[in-house]
Amino acid sequence: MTLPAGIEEVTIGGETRLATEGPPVYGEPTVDGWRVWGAGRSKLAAMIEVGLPVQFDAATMALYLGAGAGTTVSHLADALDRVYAVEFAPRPGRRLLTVAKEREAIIPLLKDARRPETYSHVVESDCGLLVQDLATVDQARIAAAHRPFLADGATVAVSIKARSEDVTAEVSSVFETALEVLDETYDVVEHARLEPYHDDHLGIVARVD
Amino acid sequence: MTDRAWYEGIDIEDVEAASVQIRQGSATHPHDWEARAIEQGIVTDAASYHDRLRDASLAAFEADLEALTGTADRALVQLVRTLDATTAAILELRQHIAEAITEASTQEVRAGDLDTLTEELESAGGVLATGLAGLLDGLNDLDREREQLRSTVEQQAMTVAPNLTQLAGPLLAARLIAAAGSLEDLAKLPSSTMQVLGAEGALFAHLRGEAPAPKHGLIFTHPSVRSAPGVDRGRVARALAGKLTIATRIDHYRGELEPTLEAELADRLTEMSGGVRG
Repeated sequence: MTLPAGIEEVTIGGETRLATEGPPVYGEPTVDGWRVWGAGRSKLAAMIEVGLPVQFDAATMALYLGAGAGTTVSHLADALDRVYAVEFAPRPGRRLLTVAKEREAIIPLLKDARRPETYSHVVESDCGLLVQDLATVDQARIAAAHRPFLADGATVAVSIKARSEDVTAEVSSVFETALEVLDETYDVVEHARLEPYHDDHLGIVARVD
Repeated sequence: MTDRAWYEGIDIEDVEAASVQIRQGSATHPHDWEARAIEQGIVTDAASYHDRLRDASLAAFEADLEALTGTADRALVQLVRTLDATTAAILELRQHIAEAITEASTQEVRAGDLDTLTEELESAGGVLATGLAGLLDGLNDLDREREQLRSTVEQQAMTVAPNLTQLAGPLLAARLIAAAGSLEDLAKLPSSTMQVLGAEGALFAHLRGEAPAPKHGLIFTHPSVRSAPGVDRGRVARALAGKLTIATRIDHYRGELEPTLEAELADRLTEMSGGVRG
């Protein structure tokens, strides 16, 4: 598995774990300045762990939808120059703000990812990476709606949470629909379930033509 | 091309003004804002653009957070208490007026409807009408204000506790938060306390050994409890309180809408009306 630039593997307690270089933020273990990036707390780390080709070496800027408390964002910020971190919920937002204050690369935005027009006046149109981790309906459609923010050749890493789309529907059919919707806008490269790290989640890697 | 960047029309060094534009501005599409800013000489280079943007976005984020949380649930508590006090005051004054008219006439006048009350007062005439007509007008105005307050409470409940509001309805959600004191206090209550919140009188009578345990408090106003047949009300109230407790905890600790909850509650209630003992 080739890892994206800025992300390495470290051995801790006899186990090989993903890590990024920077000051710790949430009590994660560190090895020589490298912070362990747990796949159980991050959909993006899980996507890398299950072997999806999450590559963004060319990227310097990322747009992150569903930044939550900023765990994954903090790791991305170790590897990139600028991460636009969009989060709508005030509660995790507090934590995200603390993380953002400690990391130069993070541009936090308390905005609704379902309404990109509310931050189009802030975010660039040539981001090299889109990461999405939302717990809402229409996750694939939201990812597709963010095409204008991405440069040609940009990487799209989306995790689809089946339970947020439709509790009553079959998980696999939810994923199929999501893949179809994404494939209308992007080139879907690969997808995989994120078990055992996250139940009922599908990780999808796609590219902008 | 009418899209305006977050820094347009202001001094980019003015963090306050820039944060307002980040909070309130919009554009149909993203553009190469950074390159434009450098081209127009607004900033000298990419690094200083990044610093300005970061300062402004941190300030905007903080201001948005402040507006959305912190005092938001306390405001809701005050709003719903005022709403309930206003409702009680309007009703009490109406009853006074209705009683006054009843005493002066041969038939009984009810306090229920403001319009009928106005008519009855007019037909009663005399010193009663001159004395009370102005007050009744004032009550009409107050009633409209109360409706306004009520819709504010409903909106605020949705902001403060989206999941609880979705399950309980805005007014019950607001009253539960008010009864506990704050969203955090409510989130820390066990479901059994949530179930009898607002029935403290009955609860303590029970603890003194003077009465049976209350089956429900404020949540009696929830349609699922009120419409349940008497023998089932305790179980329905218990199941509802359980889901409301989960919803409140998600609202407090995560703050995001969890769309699965509503369906889970519906499933649970259908299950019970199907005769499965819970």
